[in-house]
Amino acid sequence: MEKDKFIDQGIVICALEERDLEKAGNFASFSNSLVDEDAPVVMDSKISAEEERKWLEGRLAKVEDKKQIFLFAEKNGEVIGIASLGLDIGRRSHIGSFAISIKSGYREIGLGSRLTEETIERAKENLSGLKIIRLRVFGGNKPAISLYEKYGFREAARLPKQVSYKGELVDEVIMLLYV
Amino acid sequence: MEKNNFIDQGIIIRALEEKDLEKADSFMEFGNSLIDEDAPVVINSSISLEEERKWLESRLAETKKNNQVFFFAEKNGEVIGISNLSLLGGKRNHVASFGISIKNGYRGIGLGYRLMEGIIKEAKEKMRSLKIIKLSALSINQPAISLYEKCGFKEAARVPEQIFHKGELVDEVIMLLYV
Repeated sequence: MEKDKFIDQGIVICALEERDLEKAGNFASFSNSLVDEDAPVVMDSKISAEEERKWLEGRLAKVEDKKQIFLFAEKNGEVIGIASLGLDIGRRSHIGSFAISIKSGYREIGLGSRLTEETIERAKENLSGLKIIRLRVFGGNKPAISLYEKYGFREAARLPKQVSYKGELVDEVIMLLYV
Repeated sequence: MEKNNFIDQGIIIRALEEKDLEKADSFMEFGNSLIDEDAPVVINSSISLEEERKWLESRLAETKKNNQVFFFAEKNGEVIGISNLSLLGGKRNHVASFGISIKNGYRGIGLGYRLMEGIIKEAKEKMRSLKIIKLSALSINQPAISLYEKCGFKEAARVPEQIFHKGELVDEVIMLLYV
């Protein structure tokens, strides 16, 4: 099966665990690589290992509370992709917010598909109350939008000029998937 | 004019300050009063004094960095309305999200309009990067939507079934104001 090709390439996909907090530095390097390449992500400044660790601790607490799925891919100890899906709070707790990013050099090899598929499957199994998965994407990010459409997401809204990217104000697209 | 008579009614509107942390309990009671009446706000479970204080501390810290404007109304020491506006940061730092809530018994007297007017004026002066103010309303909350329209907001999107309120999933209306 195609899925197994990642193992041959030395790519391992894991769910975030307590012990991964020790390698917060690798997660920070991953995030900072996205900032360096000016990737279409919301963050635009680098993050320290300490800030990253705090963020991971927050994710892990939600994972343990069964309100979050957090998967990552690594190769030779280097983090090369992350995918997360967390239940919103209060009156929005039937909504799960999904986000994924893949390191430059590891795109278009099916890794995004694999992480997305796996995250959605696990979310359906583990996150009670989940009815709708929601994501945001930059209007011009066609590869990402195609990936999301492949898994059934549909555009629900397009908000004008929400993101400043490469000198322009670009649209934000909100996509939904009913599970 | 009717909207100017708040002082006569003993209602004071002002920005959040350090000393207000001492009355986190009044803010907590205000938040919990909205939950008790099942108001169309996102939170739907009671908040503790500690949570409220932490939230106010974070709002104050952001206010000091000019990333936040936070106004509230009080009468005889009781908090009867709050409104805040927060820059989203990162590549969305030209967008600020707006929120407002008024205690039951003080609605329909122009207090919401007065708070909005003050906060938008203050935000224009303090937030140099601000271009767009964004808010979310429950589609069933016509009084709120009318108020937002009166202040110049226009509907930009309607995302289906995003909020669980009184046993139903209602749409989220996203409104924008260019400043």
